[in-house]
Amino acid sequence: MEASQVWELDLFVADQTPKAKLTYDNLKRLFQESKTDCKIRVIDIYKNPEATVENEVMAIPTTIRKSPLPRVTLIGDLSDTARAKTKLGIK
Amino acid sequence: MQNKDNLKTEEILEKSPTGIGGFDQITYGGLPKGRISLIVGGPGTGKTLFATQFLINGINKFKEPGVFVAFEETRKKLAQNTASLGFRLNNLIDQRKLIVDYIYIERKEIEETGEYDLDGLFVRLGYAIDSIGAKRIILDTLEAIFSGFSQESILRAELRRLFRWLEEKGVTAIVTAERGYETFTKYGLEEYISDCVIVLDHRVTEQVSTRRMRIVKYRGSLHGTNEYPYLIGEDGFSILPITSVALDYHSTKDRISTGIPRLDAMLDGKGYYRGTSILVSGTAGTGKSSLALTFADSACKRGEKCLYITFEESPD
Repeated sequence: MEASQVWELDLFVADQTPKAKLTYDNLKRLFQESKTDCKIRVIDIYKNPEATVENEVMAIPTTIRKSPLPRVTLIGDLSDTARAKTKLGIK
Repeated sequence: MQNKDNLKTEEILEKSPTGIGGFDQITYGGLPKGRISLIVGGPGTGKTLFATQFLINGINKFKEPGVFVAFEETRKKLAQNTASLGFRLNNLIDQRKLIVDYIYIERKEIEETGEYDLDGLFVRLGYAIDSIGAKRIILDTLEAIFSGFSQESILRAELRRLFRWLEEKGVTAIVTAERGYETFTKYGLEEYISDCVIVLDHRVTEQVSTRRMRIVKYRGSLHGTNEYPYLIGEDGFSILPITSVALDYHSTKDRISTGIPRLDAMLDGKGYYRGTSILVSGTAGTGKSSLALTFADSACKRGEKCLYITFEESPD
């Protein structure tokens, strides 16, 4: 894994709710703390049902690590920081 | 047998006809329209088949598009069932009358990192229903979500929400579930579905395999409360509504030839009465089978269909 590689993540939320904001903030912070660059694409499942179906998203919020491979799917608001970091593969 | 006059007052609850042999009879019309019905049974009892037929008949016979939501374990079953019954799923999908949505849930792959709800599921279902204007939906087996997510309290709250949402959508839904040991269904889904509950049972009694269906609950409607035998055959699911074999048919004065001109002559020159039972009795070798066969043969020669059931001889 290249240190300079930019990580790409999809964050699926249901509209602009406080929970959505919380999850986004948690996600950003995880990467800031580990000093890893990341590109987060926020997808509103109501505005984009096709992407929801395509990515087989059921639980909200869902975070999918698209790059680097392999694909990793996390559900929940990422408040379990330790678990999120481990599963995402960041330190 | 229920009095026919009582039935008129039951028209208030609209029914969704299933087109499944016998079922619409014992429910006086079918499943509750726009509501959720729960079909419970052990493995191999025909839950998926019943649900599939409800959907396909809905499309072919009643012009109602449908959505089949298949959870992980039923993908193969669905393919097998529909192939053996000759349902041309792909045609219906191409014609936008049917959507089959596979929802794959594998707990190992799902990492839970905090609170969540199942809005994604609602969006997917809504998308499928809206895209073809579906009026019927199957969730088979909804219980699969219990094996996918660990937070049962979240799941149960979301199930309640899901069922309310389905009713608001105005679709007639079937949810299938496995029989539980201590609870009625494995995960207690019966708590959330109160309009109609049907149990399918497959038992072996004295080495004979029998299938029985029972309507445990059907709110707001008359229904047969007995256990009804059912078969799963080449045409799919069919129920024998034994209590509806009532003496409410018309007797006819029509006659049918015996196939033996001289015998016809002895019977007013016309033969047997149609719709009657004729007993032919005699010792061995007197020609009972020949008489019966001649009757069957003459019917076939006239182009009529004949069912010949023989207990003592091989087809040769």
